[in-house]
Amino acid sequence: MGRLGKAGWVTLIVMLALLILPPVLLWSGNEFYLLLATRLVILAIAAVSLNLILGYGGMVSFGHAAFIGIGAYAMGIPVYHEFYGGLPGVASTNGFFQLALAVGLSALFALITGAISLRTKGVYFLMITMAFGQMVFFLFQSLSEYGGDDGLVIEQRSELPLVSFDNPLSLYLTSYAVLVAVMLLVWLIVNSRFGMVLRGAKGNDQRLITLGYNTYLYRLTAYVIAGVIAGVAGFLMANFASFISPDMMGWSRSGELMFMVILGGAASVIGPVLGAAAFVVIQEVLSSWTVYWHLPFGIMLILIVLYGRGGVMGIISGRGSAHRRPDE
Amino acid sequence: MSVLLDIRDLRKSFGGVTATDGVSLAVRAGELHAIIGPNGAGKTTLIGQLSGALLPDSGQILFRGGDITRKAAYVRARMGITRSFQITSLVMDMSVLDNVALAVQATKGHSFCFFRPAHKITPIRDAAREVLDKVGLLARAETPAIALSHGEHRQLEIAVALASGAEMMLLDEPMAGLGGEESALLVEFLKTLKGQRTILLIEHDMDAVFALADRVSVLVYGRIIATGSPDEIRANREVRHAYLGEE
Amino acid sequence: MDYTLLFIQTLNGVQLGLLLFLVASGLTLVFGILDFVNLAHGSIYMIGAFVCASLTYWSGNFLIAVVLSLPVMAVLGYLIERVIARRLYARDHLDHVLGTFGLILVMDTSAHLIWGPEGIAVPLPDWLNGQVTLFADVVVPSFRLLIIATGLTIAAGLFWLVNYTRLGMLIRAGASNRTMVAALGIDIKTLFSLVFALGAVLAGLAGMLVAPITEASISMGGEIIITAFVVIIVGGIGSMKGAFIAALMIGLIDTLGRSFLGDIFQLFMSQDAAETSAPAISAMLIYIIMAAVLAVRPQGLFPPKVR
Repeated sequence: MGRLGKAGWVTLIVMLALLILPPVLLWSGNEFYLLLATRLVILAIAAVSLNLILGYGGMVSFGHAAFIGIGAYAMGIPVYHEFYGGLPGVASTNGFFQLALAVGLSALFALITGAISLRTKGVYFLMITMAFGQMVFFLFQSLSEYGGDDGLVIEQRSELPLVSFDNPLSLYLTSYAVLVAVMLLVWLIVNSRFGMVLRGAKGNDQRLITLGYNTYLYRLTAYVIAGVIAGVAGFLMANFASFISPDMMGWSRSGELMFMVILGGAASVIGPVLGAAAFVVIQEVLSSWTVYWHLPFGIMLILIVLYGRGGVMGIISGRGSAHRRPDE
Repeated sequence: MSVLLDIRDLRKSFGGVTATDGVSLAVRAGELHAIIGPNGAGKTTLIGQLSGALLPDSGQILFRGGDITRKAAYVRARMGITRSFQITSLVMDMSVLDNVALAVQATKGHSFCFFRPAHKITPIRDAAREVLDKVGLLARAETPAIALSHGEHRQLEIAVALASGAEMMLLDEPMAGLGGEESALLVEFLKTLKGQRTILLIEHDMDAVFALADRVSVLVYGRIIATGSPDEIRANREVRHAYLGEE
Repeated sequence: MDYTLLFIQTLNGVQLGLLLFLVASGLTLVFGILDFVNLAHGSIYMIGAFVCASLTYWSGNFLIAVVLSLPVMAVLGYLIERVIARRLYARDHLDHVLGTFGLILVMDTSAHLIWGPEGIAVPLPDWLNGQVTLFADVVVPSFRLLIIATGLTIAAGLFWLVNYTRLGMLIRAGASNRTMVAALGIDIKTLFSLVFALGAVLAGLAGMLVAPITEASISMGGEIIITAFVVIIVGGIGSMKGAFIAALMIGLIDTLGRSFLGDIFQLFMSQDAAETSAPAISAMLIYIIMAAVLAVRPQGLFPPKVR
């Protein structure tokens, strides 16, 4: 990449700011902003992964928070058993073990639910992913051993060599590194031959099939990759909050992730990061005014959809093609 | 000449309306076989069944002697059957070059390659440019497909089919909506393909059909009423009555 | 097996199924005819419960409150259609989803502001609050029978409406061919507003009927909407018949699963294992059913013919 485009410069500036500002704020005595930035970065990881399937693959998933939940519980459950006994095979505070569990379970869940939901398109796909997401929500809600609805306090953060997640700066920088790696990965994927097929199938599925591509397999692969990345975000989120609960994967969380992707601009790698930043800032500002911050947030969302340039899809494509209904 | 695509007694109906009513047709390797017929004769439905977008109710489709009647569309494409669409079907938000590159890429094994930027794979890019050069679109290579004119869309549609390297091309009204000059250019271009590819051409433009086709079949109400050389078809009374006479 | 319990739980399952049908029918009407995805349908159901609760305290009688609440719901549905939904019909489904997601936040927070964070119990009049002895030792609350009777009546009314009336004909024609209906000189905009208002009334009624049992609460909307989605996915989006059958199926499976899965599991696993796995599986049961149906029939059990 010899020359940076506009998106390249935005990416560079935003990522540099995220690298420098939070530590500086920490040293100037504002730890609060570091924590805010950590949440932002972890949500951005999940949003970037959702964008791989939503923005580039045209798969409007409304159940993406389920993967965050799976990743978080894959981190929290081994710790719980380490402290309170039971399931000796799972009990562990080893970060690598927990991460492997998070990745494995997210991949498995993505593979099974993706294989079923990708047989359908458009609204069906949206509702089915939403229902599968809610299935995981109810599953963890019903597991009273892990606190059910009330959630579970995590007694000890993941143990990894070299970094200590108990140090907020270490956790932040690790999350930041993961975000950079994930952005790079997604950028490589969407520009590769695989990504060409994925984007092509979004634009015209029938054409790609006629060329000999089994587009279903390409979509499923992308769905699994996105699920795994979100699972990793969940693993980090559990370490950050030291607490897990079904609320992390409720369908409003999935809706918020979608909001980040679309507000930030789908089909660019930096877009979801900007969207996550906007979401975290809006939430912080509004909730400092009123505990009823969802009210102005909801009104804002409706206004964006109604009056944003040619609707949300118009904002994405920049062509104002709000009347296009590609799924039909 | 050997038979490449063998259609045997193909039938398809949609809720009581018979669209394909016992079509049998043998397309020989290397020929340009045109199918003509009035609107609603079931031409596009036939192409749909051949490409795998639709499944026939009964009958058989053999390609190179193997049964492909129930094979998925993408499998047929890999075996060497591709189609163009009557209504332009391209990936509109990609560049002209990318559209063709996707077709070339499909011929190079699988595309589960995640890391190497596709734009840097020169054999694919070069092959795609070569095809664009053939159809006269090379100057527009970096233009988004959506920005092309209607005529250029039809050209690109052909380029994509060509780049897929398919032995058998099913072309569904490639001249649709083209002006006289553009049509003439496309006819000249299709002539250059004769002998290299086997083409099943559906077309309304009779001048084009009679200029291009080795053989012509006439489809009326889902049935083939005649097959023969262009001259034979012109002379056929039944055809004149059913179809040509109406013009 | 305890047959009395089985009978009562079956009745409960039917009751849940009919309530689900009231919500799902509105959802499927709006989606089938307007091609509009309304995530906020569950919040309309929730508002129905709260409005009815307030009016019950104001009027002192639950039934009067229900009668008064229905037009309120119709107005609410009409307003949502006029102010938001109508502008989104021509848009992408993604716009529908985000817009109505915003609407959920607005409605849920408004309910929080108006009625407070706690649920509100809705008292029933004495004659509805009793029990009915059906036979031998089978005793069921009379209100539950009222719910079942109401649900069946509404279902019959909807079938009549969709299949035998001029409005129904327009509705079906509207689903298959908008331009044709418009060309016939029918005011399609008013038709769409009416359909939306009808959906809101049905969902609101479901909320009113459930409020005396569970009390009106803010979270009830989010809980029902996903189940209603499962119902219309299984039934086939846009199909009234599919919604009815799938609603009963899901209602029965969910209720019976929660009460009997533990017993069934004990037949082939240890009591311990059954006691841990049964709640988890029964919580996921309807989604597993949904997955199974979709694996065989991706378009649901009764996909509507036109669309």
